Amino acid sequence: MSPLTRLVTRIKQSKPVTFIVRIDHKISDWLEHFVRSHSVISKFFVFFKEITNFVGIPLILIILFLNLPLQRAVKLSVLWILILLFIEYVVKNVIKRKRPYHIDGKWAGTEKIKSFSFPSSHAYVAGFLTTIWLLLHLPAAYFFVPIFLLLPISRVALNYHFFVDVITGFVLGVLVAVLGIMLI
Amino acid sequence: MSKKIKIQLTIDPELCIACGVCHALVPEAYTYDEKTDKYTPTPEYKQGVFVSPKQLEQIKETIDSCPVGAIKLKILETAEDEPSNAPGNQD
Repeated sequence: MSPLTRLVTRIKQSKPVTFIVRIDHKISDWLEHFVRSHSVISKFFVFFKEITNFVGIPLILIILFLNLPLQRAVKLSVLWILILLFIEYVVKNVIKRKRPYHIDGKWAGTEKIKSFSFPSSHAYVAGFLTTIWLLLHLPAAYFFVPIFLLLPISRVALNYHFFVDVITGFVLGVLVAVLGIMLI
Repeated sequence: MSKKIKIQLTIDPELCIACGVCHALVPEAYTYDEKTDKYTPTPEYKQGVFVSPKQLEQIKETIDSCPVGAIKLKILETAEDEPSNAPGNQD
Protein backbone atom coordinates (compact mmCIF):
# COMPACT_ATOMS: atom_id res chain seq x y z
CA MET A 1 0.00 0.00 0.00
CA SER A 2 1.49 3.35 -1.05
CA PRO A 3 1.88 6.16 1.52
CA LEU A 4 -0.72 8.20 -0.38
CA THR A 5 -3.26 5.34 -0.30
CA ARG A 6 -2.55 4.87 3.40
CA LEU A 7 -3.12 8.57 4.04
CA VAL A 8 -6.41 8.55 2.06
CA THR A 9 -7.59 5.46 3.99
CA ARG A 10 -6.74 7.13 7.32
CA ILE A 11 -8.70 10.24 6.32
CA LYS A 12 -11.64 8.07 5.22
CA GLN A 13 -11.60 6.27 8.58
CA SER A 14 -11.54 9.47 10.66
CA LYS A 15 -14.65 10.26 12.68
CA PRO A 16 -15.57 13.57 10.96
CA VAL A 17 -15.31 11.97 7.51
CA THR A 18 -17.36 8.88 8.42
CA PHE A 19 -19.97 11.18 9.97
CA ILE A 20 -20.13 13.34 6.82
CA VAL A 21 -20.28 10.26 4.55
CA ARG A 22 -23.15 8.82 6.60
CA ILE A 23 -25.17 12.07 6.36
CA ASP A 24 -24.17 12.48 2.71
CA HIS A 25 -25.55 9.05 1.79
CA LYS A 26 -28.82 9.84 3.59
CA ILE A 27 -29.33 13.19 1.81
CA SER A 28 -28.35 11.76 -1.59
CA ASP A 29 -30.62 8.73 -1.13
CA TRP A 30 -33.54 10.92 -0.13
CA LEU A 31 -33.13 13.22 -3.15
CA GLU A 32 -32.70 10.29 -5.55
CA HIS A 33 -35.77 8.56 -4.13
CA PHE A 34 -37.84 11.76 -4.27
CA VAL A 35 -36.98 12.43 -7.91
CA ARG A 36 -37.41 8.79 -8.96
CA SER A 37 -40.90 8.70 -7.44
CA HIS A 38 -41.99 11.80 -9.40
CA SER A 39 -41.74 10.95 -13.09
CA VAL A 40 -42.25 14.53 -14.34
CA ILE A 41 -39.35 15.84 -12.24
CA SER A 42 -37.25 12.83 -13.24
CA LYS A 43 -37.90 13.42 -16.96
CA PHE A 44 -37.11 17.12 -16.55
CA PHE A 45 -33.73 16.36 -14.97
CA VAL A 46 -32.86 13.85 -17.72
CA PHE A 47 -33.72 16.45 -20.38
CA PHE A 48 -31.79 19.10 -18.43
CA LYS A 49 -28.74 16.81 -18.22
CA GLU A 50 -28.73 16.20 -21.98
CA ILE A 51 -28.77 19.93 -22.72
CA THR A 52 -26.27 21.07 -20.10
CA ASN A 53 -23.74 18.36 -21.02
CA PHE A 54 -23.06 20.10 -24.32
CA VAL A 55 -23.42 23.71 -23.23
CA GLY A 56 -21.22 24.24 -20.12
CA ILE A 57 -17.66 24.50 -21.45
CA PRO A 58 -18.44 26.38 -24.72
CA LEU A 59 -20.63 28.76 -22.72
CA ILE A 60 -17.81 29.64 -20.31
CA LEU A 61 -15.40 30.28 -23.16
CA ILE A 62 -17.90 32.47 -25.03
CA ILE A 63 -18.66 34.49 -21.87
CA LEU A 64 -14.99 35.04 -21.04
CA PHE A 65 -13.94 35.99 -24.56
CA LEU A 66 -16.91 38.32 -25.12
CA ASN A 67 -16.57 40.13 -21.79
CA LEU A 68 -12.85 40.39 -21.08
CA PRO A 69 -9.79 41.62 -22.96
CA LEU A 70 -8.31 38.82 -25.06
CA GLN A 71 -5.18 38.23 -22.96
CA ARG A 72 -7.14 38.13 -19.69
CA ALA A 73 -9.76 35.81 -21.19
CA VAL A 74 -7.07 33.40 -22.39
CA LYS A 75 -5.33 33.33 -18.98
CA LEU A 76 -8.59 32.81 -17.11
CA SER A 77 -9.65 30.04 -19.53
CA VAL A 78 -6.34 28.26 -19.06
CA LEU A 79 -6.67 28.53 -15.27
CA TRP A 80 -10.14 27.02 -14.99
CA ILE A 81 -9.48 24.33 -17.60
CA LEU A 82 -6.28 23.30 -15.77
CA ILE A 83 -8.19 23.05 -12.49
CA LEU A 84 -10.92 21.05 -14.26
CA LEU A 85 -8.34 18.60 -15.65
CA PHE A 86 -6.69 18.39 -12.21
CA ILE A 87 -10.04 17.45 -10.66
CA GLU A 88 -10.82 14.91 -13.39
CA TYR A 89 -7.48 13.13 -13.60
CA VAL A 90 -5.81 13.64 -10.22
CA VAL A 91 -8.24 14.29 -7.36
CA LYS A 92 -10.85 11.74 -8.49
CA ASN A 93 -8.21 9.03 -8.90
CA VAL A 94 -6.70 9.71 -5.49
CA ILE A 95 -9.95 9.79 -3.51
CA LYS A 96 -11.47 6.97 -5.62
CA ARG A 97 -15.01 7.52 -4.45
CA LYS A 98 -17.37 5.43 -6.54
CA ARG A 99 -20.35 7.02 -8.23
CA PRO A 100 -23.64 6.17 -6.56
CA TYR A 101 -26.04 3.79 -8.22
CA HIS A 102 -28.54 3.70 -5.47
CA ILE A 103 -32.05 2.38 -5.46
CA ASP A 104 -33.61 2.93 -2.04
CA GLY A 105 -30.28 3.42 -0.36
CA LYS A 106 -28.48 0.31 -1.66
CA TRP A 107 -26.07 -0.09 -4.52
CA ALA A 108 -28.12 -1.67 -7.26
CA GLY A 109 -25.43 -2.47 -9.77
CA THR A 110 -21.91 -1.78 -10.88
CA GLU A 111 -22.44 -0.26 -14.32
CA LYS A 112 -22.10 3.36 -13.24
CA ILE A 113 -19.68 2.85 -10.38
CA LYS A 114 -16.72 2.15 -12.65
CA SER A 115 -15.82 5.83 -12.65
CA PHE A 116 -15.13 8.17 -9.77
CA SER A 117 -17.38 10.69 -8.15
CA PHE A 118 -15.56 13.16 -5.86
CA PRO A 119 -15.68 16.07 -6.59
CA SER A 120 -18.23 16.83 -9.31
CA SER A 121 -16.81 18.51 -12.42
CA HIS A 122 -20.31 19.58 -13.49
CA ALA A 123 -20.80 21.36 -10.16
CA TYR A 124 -17.36 22.96 -10.57
CA VAL A 125 -18.47 24.34 -13.95
CA ALA A 126 -21.77 25.48 -12.41
CA GLY A 127 -19.99 27.27 -9.54
CA PHE A 128 -17.59 28.94 -11.96
CA LEU A 129 -20.41 30.06 -14.28
CA THR A 130 -22.57 31.40 -11.45
CA THR A 131 -19.71 33.45 -10.03
CA ILE A 132 -18.52 34.75 -13.39
CA TRP A 133 -22.08 35.72 -14.32
CA LEU A 134 -22.56 37.64 -11.07
CA LEU A 135 -19.09 39.21 -10.86
CA LEU A 136 -19.08 40.39 -14.46
CA HIS A 137 -22.70 41.63 -14.16
CA LEU A 138 -23.77 39.67 -17.23
CA PRO A 139 -27.33 40.11 -18.55
CA ALA A 140 -30.35 37.98 -17.57
CA ALA A 141 -28.76 36.70 -14.35
CA TYR A 142 -32.25 35.97 -12.97
CA PHE A 143 -32.70 33.47 -15.82
CA PHE A 144 -29.23 31.88 -16.03
CA VAL A 145 -28.13 31.68 -12.38
CA PRO A 146 -31.06 29.43 -11.31
CA ILE A 147 -30.19 27.13 -14.23
CA PHE A 148 -26.58 26.92 -13.04
CA LEU A 149 -27.78 26.18 -9.52
CA LEU A 150 -30.04 23.40 -10.81
CA LEU A 151 -27.09 21.65 -12.43
CA PRO A 152 -25.51 20.32 -9.19
CA ILE A 153 -28.93 19.27 -7.88
CA SER A 154 -29.59 17.33 -11.10
CA ARG A 155 -26.30 15.41 -10.67
CA VAL A 156 -27.46 14.10 -7.28
CA ALA A 157 -31.04 13.56 -8.42
CA LEU A 158 -29.90 11.45 -11.36
CA ASN A 159 -27.54 9.37 -9.21
CA TYR A 160 -24.31 10.58 -10.78
CA HIS A 161 -22.94 12.13 -7.59
CA PHE A 162 -23.39 12.33 -3.88
CA PHE A 163 -24.42 15.59 -2.24
CA VAL A 164 -20.93 16.34 -0.85
CA ASP A 165 -19.38 15.81 -4.32
CA VAL A 166 -21.48 18.59 -5.83
CA ILE A 167 -21.06 20.96 -2.87
CA THR A 168 -17.28 20.56 -3.07
CA GLY A 169 -17.24 20.94 -6.85
CA PHE A 170 -19.41 24.06 -6.69
CA VAL A 171 -17.27 25.71 -3.99
CA LEU A 172 -14.13 24.94 -6.00
CA GLY A 173 -15.73 26.58 -9.05
CA VAL A 174 -16.62 29.68 -7.03
CA LEU A 175 -13.09 29.93 -5.55
CA VAL A 176 -11.38 29.54 -8.92
CA ALA A 177 -13.64 32.17 -10.47
CA VAL A 178 -13.13 34.68 -7.63
CA LEU A 179 -9.36 34.13 -7.50
CA GLY A 180 -9.13 34.22 -11.27
CA ILE A 181 -11.01 37.51 -11.58
CA MET A 182 -9.04 39.05 -8.68
CA LEU A 183 -5.57 37.90 -9.69
CA ILE A 184 -5.65 37.81 -13.48
CA MET B 1 -0.94 -24.38 -13.07
CA SER B 2 -2.23 -21.08 -11.78
CA LYS B 3 -1.15 -18.85 -8.97
CA LYS B 4 -3.51 -18.72 -6.02
CA ILE B 5 -3.42 -16.41 -3.05
CA LYS B 6 -5.00 -17.16 0.29
CA ILE B 7 -6.68 -14.09 1.71
CA GLN B 8 -8.78 -13.13 4.70
CA LEU B 9 -11.19 -10.20 4.87
CA THR B 10 -12.50 -8.23 7.81
CA ILE B 11 -14.88 -5.28 8.01
CA ASP B 12 -14.76 -2.89 10.94
CA PRO B 13 -18.39 -2.81 12.17
CA GLU B 14 -17.82 0.56 13.84
CA LEU B 15 -16.96 2.14 10.50
CA CYS B 16 -19.32 0.30 8.08
CA ILE B 17 -22.22 2.50 6.98
CA ALA B 18 -23.93 -0.34 5.05
CA CYS B 19 -23.79 1.46 1.72
CA GLY B 20 -23.24 -1.85 -0.07
CA VAL B 21 -20.61 -0.85 -2.63
CA CYS B 22 -18.45 -3.83 -1.60
CA HIS B 23 -21.32 -6.25 -2.20
CA ALA B 24 -22.16 -4.58 -5.52
CA LEU B 25 -18.59 -5.04 -6.76
CA VAL B 26 -17.86 -8.57 -5.45
CA PRO B 27 -21.15 -10.16 -4.29
CA GLU B 28 -19.53 -13.51 -3.42
CA ALA B 29 -17.20 -11.91 -0.86
CA TYR B 30 -19.60 -9.76 1.16
CA THR B 31 -22.99 -10.28 2.70
CA TYR B 32 -25.52 -8.05 4.40
CA ASP B 33 -26.28 -8.80 8.03
CA GLU B 34 -29.83 -7.72 8.76
CA LYS B 35 -29.37 -7.98 12.53
CA THR B 36 -26.54 -5.47 12.69
CA ASP B 37 -27.45 -3.53 9.53
CA LYS B 38 -23.85 -3.88 8.36
CA TYR B 39 -22.00 -5.72 5.63
CA THR B 40 -19.60 -8.49 6.61
CA PRO B 41 -17.34 -10.80 4.61
CA THR B 42 -18.96 -14.14 3.77
CA PRO B 43 -17.87 -16.94 6.18
CA GLU B 44 -15.31 -18.36 3.75
CA TYR B 45 -13.69 -14.97 3.14
CA LYS B 46 -13.71 -14.37 6.89
CA GLN B 47 -11.86 -17.62 7.56
CA GLY B 48 -9.49 -17.47 4.59
CA VAL B 49 -9.97 -18.40 0.96
CA PHE B 50 -7.79 -19.02 -2.09
CA VAL B 51 -8.40 -16.52 -4.89
CA SER B 52 -6.87 -15.88 -8.30
CA PRO B 53 -4.83 -12.69 -8.92
CA LYS B 54 -7.80 -11.34 -10.89
CA GLN B 55 -10.16 -11.94 -7.96
CA LEU B 56 -7.62 -10.33 -5.65
CA GLU B 57 -7.65 -7.21 -7.82
CA GLN B 58 -11.47 -7.10 -7.55
CA ILE B 59 -11.21 -7.41 -3.76
CA LYS B 60 -8.65 -4.59 -3.70
CA GLU B 61 -11.10 -2.47 -5.71
CA THR B 62 -13.72 -2.96 -2.99
CA ILE B 63 -11.18 -1.81 -0.39
CA ASP B 64 -10.43 1.36 -2.39
CA SER B 65 -14.14 1.91 -2.98
CA CYS B 66 -15.30 1.63 0.61
CA PRO B 67 -16.15 5.26 1.43
CA VAL B 68 -15.09 4.86 5.06
CA GLY B 69 -12.11 2.53 4.63
CA ALA B 70 -13.73 -0.20 6.71
CA ILE B 71 -12.43 -3.25 4.79
CA LYS B 72 -9.14 -4.88 5.70
CA LEU B 73 -7.34 -7.50 3.62
CA LYS B 74 -4.81 -9.97 4.97
CA ILE B 75 -2.76 -12.08 2.56
CA LEU B 76 -2.10 -15.39 4.29
CA GLU B 77 -0.13 -17.38 1.69
CA THR B 78 0.44 -17.89 -2.01
CA ALA B 79 0.40 -21.21 -3.84
CA GLU B 80 1.33 -22.14 -7.40
CA ASP B 81 -1.07 -25.05 -7.74
CA GLU B 82 -4.81 -24.80 -7.30
CA PRO B 83 -5.45 -26.23 -3.84
CA SER B 84 -8.02 -29.01 -3.61
CA ASN B 85 -9.82 -27.38 -0.66
CA ALA B 86 -10.40 -24.00 -2.23
CA PRO B 87 -13.71 -22.64 -0.97
CA GLY B 88 -15.28 -19.90 -3.05
CA ASN B 89 -12.91 -20.47 -5.93
CA GLN B 90 -14.98 -19.37 -8.89
CA ASP B 91 -12.50 -19.12 -11.76
